[in-house]
Amino acid sequence: MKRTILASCLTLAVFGANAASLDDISISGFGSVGIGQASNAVGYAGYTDKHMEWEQETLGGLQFDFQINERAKFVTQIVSNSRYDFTPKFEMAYAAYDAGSFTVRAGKLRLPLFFYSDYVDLGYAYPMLRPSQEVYENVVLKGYTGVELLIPIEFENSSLLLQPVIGVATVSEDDSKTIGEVKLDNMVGLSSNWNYDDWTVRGSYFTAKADPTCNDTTTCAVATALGVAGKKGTFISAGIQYDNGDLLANLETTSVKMEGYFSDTRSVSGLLGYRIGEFTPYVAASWVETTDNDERPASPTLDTLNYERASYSIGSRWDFEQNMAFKLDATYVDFKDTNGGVATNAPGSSSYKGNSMVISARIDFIF
Amino acid sequence: MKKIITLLAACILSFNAMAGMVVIGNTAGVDSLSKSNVKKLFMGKKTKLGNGTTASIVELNNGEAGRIAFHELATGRSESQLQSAWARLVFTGKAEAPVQVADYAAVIAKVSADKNAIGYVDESAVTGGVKVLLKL
Repeated sequence: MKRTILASCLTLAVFGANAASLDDISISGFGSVGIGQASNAVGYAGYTDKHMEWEQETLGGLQFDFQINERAKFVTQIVSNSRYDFTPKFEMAYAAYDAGSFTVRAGKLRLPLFFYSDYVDLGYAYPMLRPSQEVYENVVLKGYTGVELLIPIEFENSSLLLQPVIGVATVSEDDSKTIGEVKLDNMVGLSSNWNYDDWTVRGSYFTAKADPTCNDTTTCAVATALGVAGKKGTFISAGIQYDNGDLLANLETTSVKMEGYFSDTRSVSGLLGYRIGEFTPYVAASWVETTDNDERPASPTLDTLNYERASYSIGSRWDFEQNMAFKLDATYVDFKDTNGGVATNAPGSSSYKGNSMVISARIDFIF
Repeated sequence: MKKIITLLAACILSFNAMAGMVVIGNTAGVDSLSKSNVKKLFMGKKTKLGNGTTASIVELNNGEAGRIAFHELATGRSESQLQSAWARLVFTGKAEAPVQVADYAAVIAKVSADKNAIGYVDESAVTGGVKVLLKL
């Protein structure tokens, strides 16, 4: 994460001679390059069986931290992700002010919805190849614009970080797919992290009101059929992690509820890893099911919103070089005789392809 | 004979280098730190010092023998685990990456110049410009 000469030159070129001194600017970045293939064309984690795919795990991010004065800074993070055709996106652009006992951040920020939510793009920071698809795939709510506080509270042997958030969250059209861009107004929530020695306990509660903006007849029709507009959504999670340097265990459970016909889900995911020198082999399992099947009237379209799915992974991280890690992962996905959240994979239909196996490899790095 | 002298010299030198690692702070800063707080500060799990100010952590460069020895004692984390933990904090904006310097003399220089700085050096490198907060 050291500033490089190249980066410094780039900054000079971009910001000109009148910019703040280089001591006030720090540039860092992260990235991932990966490949993978699935046993069939269901599309789990974006993979199909057609050929080795390069398009699902590859991304690059650059972060610029500008120190405004001793207490204030401005941070931008730009991420270019293969899943969105590498179109660079400002994932973060915020000002932060350290008020002493707390920090205020305002602007465009990542939403700390679940355990890995605010660093889901930062593969180098987690042991597995990708965070649970069962928990994180449905959470297309990645960022928001608004204000949050970071309030650290120190106890004698432990510390607590409270993160109250208020603002407007946006699900981009790339992510929502079926119903166009969705703004979540009046979003308020709280994420809390308690650290005690090698334990981390995390809990969060967020609530918001959906306001989809469809721009063609198909997406408008879907949005209307689901009755999402003006409806309240809640996102609750609880997680616990133990990491003593060798043994790593993580367990998380979430509940996502949206008024109207849009699927409500609950999920659980767990990971167990053990570090042996440069290697961290792991096993992981996760499960998701829809919880509002009874609330939707039976219809061929709405029935596709009822599903259950489980996945089982085995893999390893290999820290083969400074600031770089290689990961290999095999994940078996059991669609539990439902479509598993993939509408085209309905049992009994001609396009039904059954359970999937996905094998992928990835290199994560930071600089 | 030459071999024995070399061996003896090596022993004395390595003994010197093993004199013990100490956590140091600015003479105007906090007076002491517990081992658990040192672990939290150097893993970014805690950012504030007892006097309410934000700590500025001073580290040796990645891969330095002194850095590896310190973390073996203080946090129990390997280089890659530290990089991972700090990456998460830096890229979520929850903490600033530690300042990294080349050697103990540079650690002393940084710590003596900043009242919120916390660093570590081998005990034999301590000078009057800093104070020892914890002996590991």
